[in-house]
Amino acid sequence: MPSKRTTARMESLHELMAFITGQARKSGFSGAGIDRVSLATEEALVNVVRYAYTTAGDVEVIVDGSDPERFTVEVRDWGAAFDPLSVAEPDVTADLDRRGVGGVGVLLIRRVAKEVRYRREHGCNVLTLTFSRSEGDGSTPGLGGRG
Amino acid sequence: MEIVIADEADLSIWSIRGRLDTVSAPRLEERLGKWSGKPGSKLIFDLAEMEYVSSAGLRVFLAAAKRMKAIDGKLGLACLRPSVREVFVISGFLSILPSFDTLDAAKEALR
Repeated sequence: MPSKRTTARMESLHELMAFITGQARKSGFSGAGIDRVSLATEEALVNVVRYAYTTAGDVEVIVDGSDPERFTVEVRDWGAAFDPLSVAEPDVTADLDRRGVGGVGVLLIRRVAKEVRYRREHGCNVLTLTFSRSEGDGSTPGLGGRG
Repeated sequence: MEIVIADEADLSIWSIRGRLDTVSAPRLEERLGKWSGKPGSKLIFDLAEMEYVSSAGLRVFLAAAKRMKAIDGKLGLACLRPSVREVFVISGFLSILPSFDTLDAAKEALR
């Protein structure tokens, strides 16, 4: 499966995202579908860059576009064990004064990916994002109308 | 990401173009930090040409809204594209940041 591994730093973000969206395009995604893949993977990668390591470390993305129904992105890091799905969802009804941005990234991942799974495997955090081909294939405006 | 600013009296219109992501959002944040928003001033973000926004971009809009409130000013968002609008909806930000379908509607509401 196509993969890319780099040092986990903000300067690598665009390179990793270009790799992922390029692979998504190859497997037939366009328009809103690409936006959904882009958004969820950006949020996942940013979490790794910001929080996985106290010093330096790697991040790896592995994509699977072989299934005609779905496109899968696996984000791996070897930092501290962290399950993003354990992050409490923000109160999206809070007013301006009480509203922060904590948890919004993970909320966006959950809403735009069809499925999100986390596992810790041999000292490695593995976050698997699955995107459905049938939603938001480019002919539909918006991010697919989920949530 | 590109920022184009047009000022009309006490109204400042910021057109955000391209992708407002984790890499580009700090530039908008910095630009806003340098902006001398006077008490009671009005700020419109024209998002007609903003193709993409992630949580880092939302954070900047939220900070701008809080600042405008602190200086007794007004803030509005105009012309959100469907995919961008969806991100604002999911995050709940669309219910705390006033948004308008057209730039004229935003100007009218903030006047």
